[in-house]
Amino acid sequence: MIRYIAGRLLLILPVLFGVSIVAFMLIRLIPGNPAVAILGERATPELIARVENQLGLNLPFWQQYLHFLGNARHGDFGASFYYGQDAWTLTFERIPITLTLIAYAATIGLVIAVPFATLAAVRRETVVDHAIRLAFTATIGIPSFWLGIVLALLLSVKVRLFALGGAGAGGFDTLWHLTLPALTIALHISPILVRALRSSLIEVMDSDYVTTGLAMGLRPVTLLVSYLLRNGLTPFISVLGLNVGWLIGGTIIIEQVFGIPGVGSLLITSILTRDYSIVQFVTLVLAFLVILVNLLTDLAYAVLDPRVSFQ
Amino acid sequence: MMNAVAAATPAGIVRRGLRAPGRWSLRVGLAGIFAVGALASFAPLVAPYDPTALGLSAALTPPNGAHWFGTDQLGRDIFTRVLYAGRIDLQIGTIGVIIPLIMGVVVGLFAGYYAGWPDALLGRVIDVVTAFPFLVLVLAIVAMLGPGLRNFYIAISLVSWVAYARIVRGESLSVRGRGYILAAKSLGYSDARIMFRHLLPNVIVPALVFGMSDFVLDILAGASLGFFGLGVQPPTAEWGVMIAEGRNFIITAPWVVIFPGVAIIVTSFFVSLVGDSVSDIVRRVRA
Repeated sequence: MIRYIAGRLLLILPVLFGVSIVAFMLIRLIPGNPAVAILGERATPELIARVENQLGLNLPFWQQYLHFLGNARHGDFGASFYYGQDAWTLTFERIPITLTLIAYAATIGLVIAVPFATLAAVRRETVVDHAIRLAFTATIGIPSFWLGIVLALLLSVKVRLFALGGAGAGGFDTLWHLTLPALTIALHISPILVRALRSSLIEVMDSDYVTTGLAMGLRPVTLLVSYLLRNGLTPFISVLGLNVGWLIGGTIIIEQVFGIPGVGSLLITSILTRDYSIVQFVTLVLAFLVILVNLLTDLAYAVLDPRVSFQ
Repeated sequence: MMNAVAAATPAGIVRRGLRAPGRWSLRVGLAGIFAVGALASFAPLVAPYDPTALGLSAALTPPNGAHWFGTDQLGRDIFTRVLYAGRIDLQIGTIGVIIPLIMGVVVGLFAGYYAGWPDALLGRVIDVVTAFPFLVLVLAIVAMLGPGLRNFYIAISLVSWVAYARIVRGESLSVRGRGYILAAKSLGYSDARIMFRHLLPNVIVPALVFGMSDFVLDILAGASLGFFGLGVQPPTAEWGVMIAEGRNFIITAPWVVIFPGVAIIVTSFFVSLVGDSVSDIVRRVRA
């Protein structure tokens, strides 16, 4: 098990290296002089020189990258000219609310996906299965920002079920404020979850031990809960891990739509205010988050499925 | 055996798809795509009004006989604008698939055919790009290059080719040792000829199937950028832009937001329907 974890960690190193290069290159995509773009047209030459120095723009390309890494080692990823704070503080202040939203959305997503996927798998190739698949094929094309606006109209304005806007004052109030955004994100990811869970359940249903269980006269409910769902959920976890990027993409849009002060709305605001250092850092942090989640899902998979850890 | 090999190429899939019984979802999907495409292409002929003609006296009119989908805050006919927007959004989906598809297929063929270090290098690049959430990386690139449709295409091309390269590379790696490739090599055919004439038709189908779902992803991404003011710029009609413009009137005039959203959902639904049925057929042919 420890060897497995060590091996996985070792595989991550080149990816982290590559991700840092991509993030480093981002600012260099800006047409013209990035320092001028960051500061605006009316910046003084002294200020421009200072930012050029901070970015290492006067150095050869490979030295610029080392410079970037050197700064990164001190947690220095530049500062925001809009918020007047450094990228690190600005981003990590907003991470908890984003993570809460993602976890909440994933939970609601599971609550939606498990019953539908189970029903579709059990009634495979019947009208029920076709109807569920068709419904979720339609769901996949719903733009999340549109769904957010429509749900807000229906459930917050027409029927005053949920609070609208912001993240609330902590505790239950936060949960109440986050329910509608989380539901929107959950519906956004549900087609992928239903599809993956349905096919992994079908695979389990076709396996010999289920046939044996049926032949032995196990009650279908027992079979479903303690055999099918348990074994079907394991591959499902890796699907959830693989699609965490899709989940994060949805979260970013929804944070901005509902005015939730998380990393996603920070990213969009920074893009709109041309706060390049923040865009760069948030992109880097979100990529690290994906890598971390993928590592955790692999480990969870290894723990849940003993066959993996012995490899 | 011969038949199975032939059937995994695009021509084989088409033949199989047309013959397959009860493939109503494929037919409905194709008919739907055709209808949406025709409505968008012939928008100037079909649409009752000018997409940018202002009619402030008739602003925010609910749907009625003269304005089927109502009018927006500037009195423009929403039905007309939804049709015109379709031209932009279908273009986003098409270009967003074709450029990355070509890039990814070429790179994937090379890596999969030669294996060795080109393949190892591509493997690392794929790992790195897929570590970024798709939408985040597209947004970040557009943020640096500046808003607009052209920069959106650049961003999509830089990000999505990786998905196609991964698919084609995997397929090529498994096919490169097959008899017909070895036969072509022993006949002294050039590598380019083997890659594009013999390998390509046998590895392209999964990439094309992925292209269907990628089309939907691109439309959603393009509309999201339009919604945030980073994609197509007003007054050009684009579904995401229209939703953004109608947002402030959602309580009094929900139709301004509803119809462009429905257009995205309907278009995506037909494309997904075709994508799903084609991937079903492919799975059966291969099984």
